[in-house]
Amino acid sequence: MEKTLKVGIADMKLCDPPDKVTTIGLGSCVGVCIYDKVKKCSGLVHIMLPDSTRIRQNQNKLKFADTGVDELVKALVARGAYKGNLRAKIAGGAKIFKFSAENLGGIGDQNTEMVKKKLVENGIKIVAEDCGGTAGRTITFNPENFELLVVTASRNSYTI
Amino acid sequence: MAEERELSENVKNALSELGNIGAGNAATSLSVMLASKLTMTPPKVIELPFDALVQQLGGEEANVVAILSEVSGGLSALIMFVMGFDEAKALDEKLLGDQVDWHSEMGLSAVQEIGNIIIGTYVASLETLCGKKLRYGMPEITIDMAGTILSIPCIEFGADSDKIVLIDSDFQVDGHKIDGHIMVFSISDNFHEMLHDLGVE
Repeated sequence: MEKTLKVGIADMKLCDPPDKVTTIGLGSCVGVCIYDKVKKCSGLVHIMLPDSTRIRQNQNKLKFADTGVDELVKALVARGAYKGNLRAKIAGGAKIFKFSAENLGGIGDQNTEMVKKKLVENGIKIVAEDCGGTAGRTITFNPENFELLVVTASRNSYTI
Repeated sequence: MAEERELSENVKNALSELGNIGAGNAATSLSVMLASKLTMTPPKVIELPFDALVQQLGGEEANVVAILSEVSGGLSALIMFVMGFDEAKALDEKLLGDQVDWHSEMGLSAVQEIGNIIIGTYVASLETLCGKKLRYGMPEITIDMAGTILSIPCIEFGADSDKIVLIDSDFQVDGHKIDGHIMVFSISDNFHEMLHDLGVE
């Protein structure tokens, strides 16, 4: 029986076919799907903030883009993925409110940038992305065909 | 590093009282504006991890209307007036009659105005109670998934804590329970400081 595994906020799950993995309501958070294109094992991490080094309460590695991407790569390799075969699809990083004050305004872009930087550092190619904009997204990754289904708050849906 | 501690009964009661007065006053000003009877349930005061917070409005994927403002000064918090589409429509009809589509620019602007009044009154009550100067930003309205909306306080306070304190008041219009909330989010450190000033701790 195939399942859809649910990833919460600041959370991560690994997933093999025929299961799928989903995360709901990405606003300025970013959902990072990394998969081994040969072995088809995959994982999804839902990060909230860009940079763990700027923050004192940083024990939860899955909360941050920098440490979250590393954790997912580590977990996939531990599960038998070959690092050279890893590819990524990412979505999120929207701007839900226009706040000019505080750090909320630009957090989506910063999250996206840090995710990309960490993927490059890990030598992982980004095959597809759907980032930015002003609407929340729900994403579901299928490790069988590597399709990432994106559904927005206005119920537009597309596959990247 | 902030130490982990549970909210004591004392603190819960004090926050619940703040919520009662804040939301109660907000309901009163709105009742006048809409010529309807708005009432509030006693607020729910809980401290919960992010994962549980994003599920507080029921379905994470359900679309909601939210008016949000950041509170700063004596208290660092987010205040949010959030409701389903039916509630936004009902409030608009009371304010503008049923000729205006709530989803139009004018309709949304009326909903936002209701949010402004609620947030303004709530913050003014907190200010009076705490005797501290509070500032709040121009409220903004958005429509999005409940999970997305509730990830905003997680991001705002995620840097300092893995848990968020929520004061959640449900409101009713003319005695009918409807799906509308006034929510105030902060981290316990901020509330502890404020309650300390109030002499509760």
